[in-house]
Amino acid sequence: MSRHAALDTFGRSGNPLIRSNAFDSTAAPGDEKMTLQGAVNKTSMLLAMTVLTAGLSWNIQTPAMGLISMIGIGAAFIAAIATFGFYFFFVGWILKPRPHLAPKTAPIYALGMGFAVGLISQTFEAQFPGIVLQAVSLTFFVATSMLLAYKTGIIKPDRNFLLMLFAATMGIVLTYLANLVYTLVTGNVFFVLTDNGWMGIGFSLLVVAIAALNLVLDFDIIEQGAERGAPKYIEWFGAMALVMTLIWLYIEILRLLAKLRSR
Amino acid sequence: MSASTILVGVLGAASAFMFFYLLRFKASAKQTNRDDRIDWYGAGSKVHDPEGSADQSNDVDEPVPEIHEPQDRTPDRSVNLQAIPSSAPVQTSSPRLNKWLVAAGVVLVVVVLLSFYESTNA
Repeated sequence: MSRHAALDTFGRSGNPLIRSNAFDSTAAPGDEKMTLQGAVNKTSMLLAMTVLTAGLSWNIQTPAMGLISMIGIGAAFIAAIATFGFYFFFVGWILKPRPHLAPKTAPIYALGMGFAVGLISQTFEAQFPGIVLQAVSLTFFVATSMLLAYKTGIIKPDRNFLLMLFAATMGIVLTYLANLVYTLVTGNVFFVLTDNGWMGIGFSLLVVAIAALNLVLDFDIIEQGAERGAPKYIEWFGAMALVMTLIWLYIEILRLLAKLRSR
Repeated sequence: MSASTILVGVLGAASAFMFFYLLRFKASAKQTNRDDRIDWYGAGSKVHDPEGSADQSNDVDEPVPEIHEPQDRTPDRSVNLQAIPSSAPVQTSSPRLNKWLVAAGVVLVVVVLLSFYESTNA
């Protein structure tokens, strides 16, 4: 039994889409094992797919493309839930995680989320020219910095780190969910999410920091999987988790830059 | 194209290159040889707890006929709910319930997306 009840309840990752069930098996003696290089290749492929569909939804502005984008985004959500499962408070796992599906669902997720990324980016770029390039650059800059900090041992993720990050990530998820309900009911959004004052910028900075710290957990999962000979499909699983966090980080940086530019 | 745009672009490209380059290297011994490392895969994980796995095998693998008896459904669900806090991959509800919930989720996602699509094209 873990010292922390939350770890037993929710698994061992701060990333909202990673659960410890994913690592329930190790590769059988004859099976192929995951490698760091394999995870890097899969991450590159998934990011390329995301960029491809983002470019399509950015450049082709027709009703048909709008419909395709919506279907793609829906498929991405379904692929994510199919792979990482769906946990509901007080009910439990409505759908348990199936990491072995990742080789099939990760490309669907990447292609589908690309449509969302393209639409969001296009909207921001129309308002603030040049903002997308800045956000992409900053995203990779932050990711590289976190990777360097992780690889050199400057940031050492342990259980307390995981627990704090999990709590913070869940706080953000609940804030966004509450905002969604609030928007559906009143037609407005939470002040702190759109405010370009210090409060709104501070909130965005906090979310960016938490998204960046989630990258550390993704790196740790990939690193440890390669060390311990996890099954080959964990390469896709780790890559999918990493791409998911990168997309989240990119969107939050985009929002932060938009707030700063609108002042 | 302004100089600052080019600079930002170069910074982004260099960062992306560095990211993929560094990702393929193993972490330093300072990172990997620690006692307080998060145990994602090892024996310390509750997933691999012998007691937990015994419970799991009872819940998932054995097709216990009593579970499917109508009069036993309520006690069975309570047993499963007790098992939920574990991080083991326990089936928390019957497959039929899961299928319905998944189907409802898919319908909900489609309806929400179509309503957003309609509102954006109105």
